[in-house]
Amino acid sequence: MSLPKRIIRVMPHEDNLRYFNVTIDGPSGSPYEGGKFKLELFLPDDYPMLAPKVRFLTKIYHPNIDRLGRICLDVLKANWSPALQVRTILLSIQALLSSPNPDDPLANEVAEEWKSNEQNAIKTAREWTERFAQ
Amino acid sequence: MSASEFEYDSEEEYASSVSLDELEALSLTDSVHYTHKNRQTATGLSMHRMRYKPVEADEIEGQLKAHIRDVDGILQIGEDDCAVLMLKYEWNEQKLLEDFTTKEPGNLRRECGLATDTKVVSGLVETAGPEFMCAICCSEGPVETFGLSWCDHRYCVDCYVRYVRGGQTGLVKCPDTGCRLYVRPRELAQLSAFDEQRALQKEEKERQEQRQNLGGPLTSEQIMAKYQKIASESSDEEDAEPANDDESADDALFNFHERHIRQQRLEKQELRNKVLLSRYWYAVVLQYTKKHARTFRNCPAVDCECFIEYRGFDSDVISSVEEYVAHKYIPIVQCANGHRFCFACMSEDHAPATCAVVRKWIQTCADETETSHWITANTKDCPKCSSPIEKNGGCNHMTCGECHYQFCWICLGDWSRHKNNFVCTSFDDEEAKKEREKQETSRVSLKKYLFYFDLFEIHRVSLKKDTEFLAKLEYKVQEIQQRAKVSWIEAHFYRESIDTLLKCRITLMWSYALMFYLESSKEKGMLEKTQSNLSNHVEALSKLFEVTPTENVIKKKETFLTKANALKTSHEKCIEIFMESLVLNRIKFVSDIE
Repeated sequence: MSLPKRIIRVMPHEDNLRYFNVTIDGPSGSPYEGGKFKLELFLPDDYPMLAPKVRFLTKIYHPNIDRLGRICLDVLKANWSPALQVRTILLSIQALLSSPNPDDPLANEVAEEWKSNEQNAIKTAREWTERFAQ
Repeated sequence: MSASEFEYDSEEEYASSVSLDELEALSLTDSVHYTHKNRQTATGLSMHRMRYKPVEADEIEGQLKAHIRDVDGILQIGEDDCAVLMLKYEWNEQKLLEDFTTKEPGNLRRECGLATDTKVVSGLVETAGPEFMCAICCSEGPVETFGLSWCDHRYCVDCYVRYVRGGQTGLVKCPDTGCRLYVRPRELAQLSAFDEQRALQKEEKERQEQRQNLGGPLTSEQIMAKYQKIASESSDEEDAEPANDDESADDALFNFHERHIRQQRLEKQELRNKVLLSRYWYAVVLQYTKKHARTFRNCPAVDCECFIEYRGFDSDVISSVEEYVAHKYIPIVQCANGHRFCFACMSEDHAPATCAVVRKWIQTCADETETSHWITANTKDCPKCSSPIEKNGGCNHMTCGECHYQFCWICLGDWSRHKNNFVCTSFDDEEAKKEREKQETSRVSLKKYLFYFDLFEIHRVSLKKDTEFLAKLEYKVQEIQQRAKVSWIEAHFYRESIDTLLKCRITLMWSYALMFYLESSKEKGMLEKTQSNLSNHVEALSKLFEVTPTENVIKKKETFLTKANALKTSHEKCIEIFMESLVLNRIKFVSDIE
């Protein structure tokens, strides 16, 4: 019997238990499929009253993720609630990969491409996944 | 003293000097303040003034509660529901009333996060059994929990209290992400009361333990615990001491008046921080004032919880703060804690420099442009590859380190023309003349900048040092005052003198920044005279503080008062003259400041 395919891996850092190394597999059916995306996650002092800080370390072509890997996601900002957990946050990020939202962009150029020529944008996203996220 | 003597609306009476004591007393009454004292300047010109009123958070809180009560008088849904609706509608009463009449009540309530049935008010705070786990901190029961009984998302009380404290607006949502309900003031009051009671019980328990410990002989563990407690407390104090000094240095730009109201403010703030419900109402006040930023401004001083309410102008010509600033007026206001700041740009007192000058000055000081000025003044560019070169000695035969081009430092011409002659002979060369002219102009403007920047810096540093120095002195004076058995009022002149000195230093400092941007003219010469007059008075008083031994301060009261009053008069005159020149456009700016 094979183990179920792990989709999100989270490992705390050896020196700093507030700091986590995260790997998210690109969700199937999205241009990020087959990619393994590295992220860093940090729990600030005021956690859980403040949201964890999450950032993509792997380059990714996505309208809501900018060149520095910062993520535009409501639950990381205004809609954060202390009842949310690291698990739910990472699931939300994975969901964001499945459904990009070019209407509320962080990377403007990517969002524009996504809106004007979606086919092309998806192609670029797939190429980037192959180039950077293996 | 009757209240009518403090009638602010009659200008003549306000013109008589108002001491700090009186100001303090006045801030408690419903009095209106003006951005500057006299409607008419000494030369008989009439100036426009902004009216304002320093208000404290509690006052606004009271007004908001009354407002909510009024609206509820129309809606009849209960003050708590009404409070949430008003917050949700960001105090837009009109819109709320409109929606209330047109929308289906159930829908409106759902949209605004109000439960449709809030009758079950029992058991907001409950003890949960061992099967409970708080979704925030993951601690397990049995534990005291809090939750709205109509959605029943429960969390432990500690987490809930921390959650509410962290809230930035008056709207406190149920922490559950799927739940859209808001916690109303009524429920918060229960949480707050529980929290307070628990804190009291804890205190009482500690006290009892202490009493028990005092009863019998102490065990070695108890002695150790006590020792550690005392040690940590005293080290806390030691840690706290320099931190306070730092703070006073940072507060340097603010009025010294703060110091003796600080105690009151801290007590009030402590109470507000301690009681969850009053913390919540402060968040409501903040939300309201931010929404009404045209009327209310929160004092920008660190941890100051005072507000300034805008009350229009005493003229028909000017109708908004923007217009007022465009006329080159500077609306400096003073909050109930004595912090002086500009109502328009929200920075510390910067009269007589206008907001635009301040912006430009800060930018100029921060910009790299001045660095490049230095480079142009002290270096020459290689005529071939343009790398900047600083001559650090040696003869005039230069060899560029980058491109190895050889040239003459004096005329910047090719060295080959100089043969082996180390004295430049082509000084009258056209090309060289141009280079030199370019160098000259940049040097002049740099010198001008450095001149004013130095003056600005000198006063900024003096201000900081004065604040530190005088703060230390003041405590000594307090001691003396107690020893010599003079009343607080008797020694008050000292604080007032400090206050005046610091205020004038700020004015001087910014007047130099302003001068940098002014074109030379007769008017500017006059301003400079005013400035140096003020500067002399400042130095005189500063000197007096320095040379008077602390023991003699009380004896020298007369001297202090004379000097401080002279300074005060000079300061007022200075501010007025600068204002006249600016407002009447008598002076020109070198570059377009906007």
